Amino acid sequence: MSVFTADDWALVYCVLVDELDDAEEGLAEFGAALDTKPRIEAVRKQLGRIDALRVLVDKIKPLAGVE
Amino acid sequence: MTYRAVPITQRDGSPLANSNCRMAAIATGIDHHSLGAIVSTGAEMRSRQSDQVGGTDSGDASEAWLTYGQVLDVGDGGTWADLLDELREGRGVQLDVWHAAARGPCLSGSGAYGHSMAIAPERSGTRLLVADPWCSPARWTWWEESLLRAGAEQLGSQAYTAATAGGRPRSDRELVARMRRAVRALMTRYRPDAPAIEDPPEVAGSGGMIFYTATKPQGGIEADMAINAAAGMVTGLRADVPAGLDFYRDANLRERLGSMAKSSSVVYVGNPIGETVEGGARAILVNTSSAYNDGSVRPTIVYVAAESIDPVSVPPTPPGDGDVTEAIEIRDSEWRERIIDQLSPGAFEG
Repeated sequence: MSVFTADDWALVYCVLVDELDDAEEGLAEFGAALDTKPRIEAVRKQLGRIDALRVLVDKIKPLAGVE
Repeated sequence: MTYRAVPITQRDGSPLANSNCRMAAIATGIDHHSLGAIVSTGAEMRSRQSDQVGGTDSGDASEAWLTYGQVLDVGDGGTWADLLDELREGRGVQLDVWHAAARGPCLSGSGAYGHSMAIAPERSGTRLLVADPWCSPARWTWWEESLLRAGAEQLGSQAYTAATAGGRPRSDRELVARMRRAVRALMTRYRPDAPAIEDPPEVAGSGGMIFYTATKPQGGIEADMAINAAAGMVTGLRADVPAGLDFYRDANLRERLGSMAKSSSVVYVGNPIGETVEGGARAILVNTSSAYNDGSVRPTIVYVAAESIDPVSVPPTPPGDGDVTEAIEIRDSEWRERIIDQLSPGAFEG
């Protein structure tokens, strides 16, 4: 990964933030009706994905030169 | 004869023109898709979807098409072989490339930016027919397939690198979705009017994944279609068809017309030419109303899967049974004798 410049990391950061935003929007839609086991399970998975994305975004933020 | 769509340029003076390569490519695509019934522009397509910042992706393209009531096939994450299959089926394709690697046809500066181009289902040797939206005025250009492939796979590799730099997503589906975001980012950060100073990095592992969308095939061009047959049509072959066997309007078995209500013996017509469906197709003659809007039953040549029937020769039907033939011969003989008698020398005397 040493070949990556700050500009390259900025692109990665941009991609992950975009995905995180969409995942959080999707969670809001799920949250409207937590009335069945599959829905609750879907929200649990979505929360796990969002947590993983947040960790990634925080990790890459300094590499991308984002304050 | 293949319908050739009108090429569309992205450089139409609209505010997002420099980022509208995909929108112009899908405008060319919807012309092909509708055989000229729907025409659009890059700016018009852009106005028909919700993303109004920077580059776009296949989701934005699908959204724009839906406003015309049309469905765009998304081939994101496919391979070059998949794309060639689409072209062979007569589909128009909108291909994402790293423009520098595709080397044109209309390059801006170094070409270090993500780009979309329309490809027609026409080939000349090793070249494919391309409408590069950066060309102004718009035009079709024969372009080497190897360059288009290099451009598509380099962009795919760059997108894979960006998508996996922080860790590979949990599933292939998530990977392709993240790569799609990366393609859009590569088109937003690097544009014809602001190319990258250096090409984004690539790591191994993309598996030749490329990003494209495709129109529906042009109907009737690459495969035979159902025929309302002449009354009394026969051949020297018949085939037994089981009840429930599906039959289709086209030789590629895409458009199902119906299924056999009961098992029967039907006239076998022959093998279609040029069909691409796996296993091949066979033409048979059935009486059906499903190919017609008026509901009337007509003898119709339709197509079934080749493996579903086993044609057999049938002896020609004799012209009539023996009694009838004998009776006709007797009658003809009587007529002959009567005519000869009437024409004999004594017949007119007295």
